[in-house]
Amino acid sequence: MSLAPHDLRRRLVAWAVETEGSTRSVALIRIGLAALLWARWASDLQLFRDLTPAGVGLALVFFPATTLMLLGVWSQWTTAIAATTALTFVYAGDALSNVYWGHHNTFLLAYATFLCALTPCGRSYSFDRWWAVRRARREHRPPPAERGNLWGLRLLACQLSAIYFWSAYDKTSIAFLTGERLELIFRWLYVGSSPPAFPGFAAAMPLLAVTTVALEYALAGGMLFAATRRWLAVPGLMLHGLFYVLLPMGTFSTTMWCLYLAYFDADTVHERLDELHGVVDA
Amino acid sequence: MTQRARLVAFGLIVAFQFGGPFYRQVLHGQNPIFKNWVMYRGVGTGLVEVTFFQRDTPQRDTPVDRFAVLGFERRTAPETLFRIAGAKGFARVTRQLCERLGPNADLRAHAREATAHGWRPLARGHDNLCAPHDPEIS
Repeated sequence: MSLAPHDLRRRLVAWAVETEGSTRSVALIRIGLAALLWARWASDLQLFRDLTPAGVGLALVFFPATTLMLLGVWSQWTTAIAATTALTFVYAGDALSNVYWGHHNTFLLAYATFLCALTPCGRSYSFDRWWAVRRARREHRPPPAERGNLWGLRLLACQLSAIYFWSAYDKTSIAFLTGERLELIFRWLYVGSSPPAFPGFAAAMPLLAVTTVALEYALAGGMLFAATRRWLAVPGLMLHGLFYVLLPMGTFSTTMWCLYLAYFDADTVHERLDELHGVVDA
Repeated sequence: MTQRARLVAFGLIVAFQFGGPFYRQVLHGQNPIFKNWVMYRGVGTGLVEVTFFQRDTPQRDTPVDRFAVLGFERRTAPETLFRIAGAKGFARVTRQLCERLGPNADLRAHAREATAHGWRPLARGHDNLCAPHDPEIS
């Protein structure tokens, strides 16, 4: 393996913007994000909640766009419209509807939808796909390949790594690593103003804090490489599972779970799905 | 979209992903277009940890369950009693307990408040908090 600068640059560019691969991963991400967009915003956007022109307008764009995104109808366009609507909530929600939607979980959801729209996310698991296959059959052609440029998937992977890195960076402080910040979070959520009665509470906090930070730094870099990903994926998923159960996370953990697909090789995901579907020698 | 345009867009987006938090978390910029990844910072600040007790004799202290004295169960108690916030919250709960315990109560507490710089003592159990003046409560 050559590590000369021009080779490295060539490989990096190829990885970033030239990779053609299966579109099943991005299709699954599209479906997952549409469901998460509903989980986060649908109840806030029911028409009776805000009858101002802005509120009604946002709702009338959000519901059709996310429905078509989920079904995979004109997928890339409807995903782009859903992303634009969601980013409007994040950046202008308080001005338009008097609601602050700029939290991390909502930003990640909206931004990931935007990145998903950069991919051919309708070439698999969509009405777009179904219509394309039927058209090909009518014209006696083989069905179109479920393949496309995966640069949006790469950007999603980079976004996840950025989250891990900067989140770990924020925690790299004496206050966090000694367990003090974590202790306060758990006290606030679980214990209240009484002294903690769990045995080992004080000792567990620094251990949990150091483990969390170390794992987040490892995930930031390690999930980008196949050799380390195989060891880190399960601990990463478990970390988000724990966050989801223990802390008020909103849609953050489930969004991260959904976006983990971006880290995995898209053609391998395709093969595994073929195995799941019982397709032999696909 | 040409590969070159895609490469430029890729670079700009990755710069936003990594540079935005750098601007917010390292340079301490405030522009909300850029997101930081700072989560749960400040949660728990202001929380008061407290144990109340009554001094029956100079040698004997009896723990006081603030929930029971005020007629609540722990799981259904008001938020402000479960999580006492700040010196004012501590003073308010102390006042309520003193009213409920009666005029001759000798209520004391070990209490400390979580601040951004560590724990700040509020009461060390030396004084009767139900006395007309409660010098320990700041």
